[in-house]
Amino acid sequence: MKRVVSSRCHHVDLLRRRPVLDPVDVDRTDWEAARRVDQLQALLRLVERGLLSAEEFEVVSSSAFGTPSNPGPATAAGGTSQWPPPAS
Amino acid sequence: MQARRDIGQLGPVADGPTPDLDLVEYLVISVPRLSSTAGIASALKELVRSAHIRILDLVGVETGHDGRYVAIESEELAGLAELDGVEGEVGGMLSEDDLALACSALPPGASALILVVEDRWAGLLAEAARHNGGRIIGGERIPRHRLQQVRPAGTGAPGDGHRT
Repeated sequence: MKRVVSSRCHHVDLLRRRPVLDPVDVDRTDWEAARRVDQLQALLRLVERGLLSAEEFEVVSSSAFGTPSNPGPATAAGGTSQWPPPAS
Repeated sequence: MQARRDIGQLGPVADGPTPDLDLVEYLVISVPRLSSTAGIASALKELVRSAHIRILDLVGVETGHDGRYVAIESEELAGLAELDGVEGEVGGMLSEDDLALACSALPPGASALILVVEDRWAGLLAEAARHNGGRIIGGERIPRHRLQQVRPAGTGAPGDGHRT
């Protein structure tokens, strides 16, 4: 295929409204893991600044994220979710 | 940089005839990840070859959990490598705002291809409508769940398109 324009910055907008999409199954495993890493890093920064003790860090991180034997509540079973959520 | 083109002034695509402006639509195709698009590329290639569609733009997008999105041009997607050399254009239709609007309808962590196509398969109908003083003036994809509500399974409902 031929690229006709290198940038999309100054195009006339074609979409007149937000598309209505069918529900999408998303594998959330990757970004849930990334979110956990971000949150753990934030907690570690608090430890480094002396605002959180090592013991408090252990308590907070294990209650929020679980342990290897207790994965915690953040990820849905199977690591997938549906958007929009199914109507109850 | 090449000059921007207006939608009403679409020119020839890859030496082909001018696209029928009554038959251009966009599609959002969700995929598990943008690396798993080889099968879609094969299908698009065949649809272009058989003159069912003409590709007028194509881009991959990924949405993040922070509300942001990333757009990846088709030539940078290894899964679409099969489209190299296929008749069509990319980059000239969808604006950044279009991509943002489309991505706002996707859930966080989703991957999708956004495709602008000319429905060449409907060319005969568009031509007939114009010949009779009319035009194709609108249309919209009907959501899958609505069709399932209208015609439940086992009552001659349209299939889900999956071939066995």
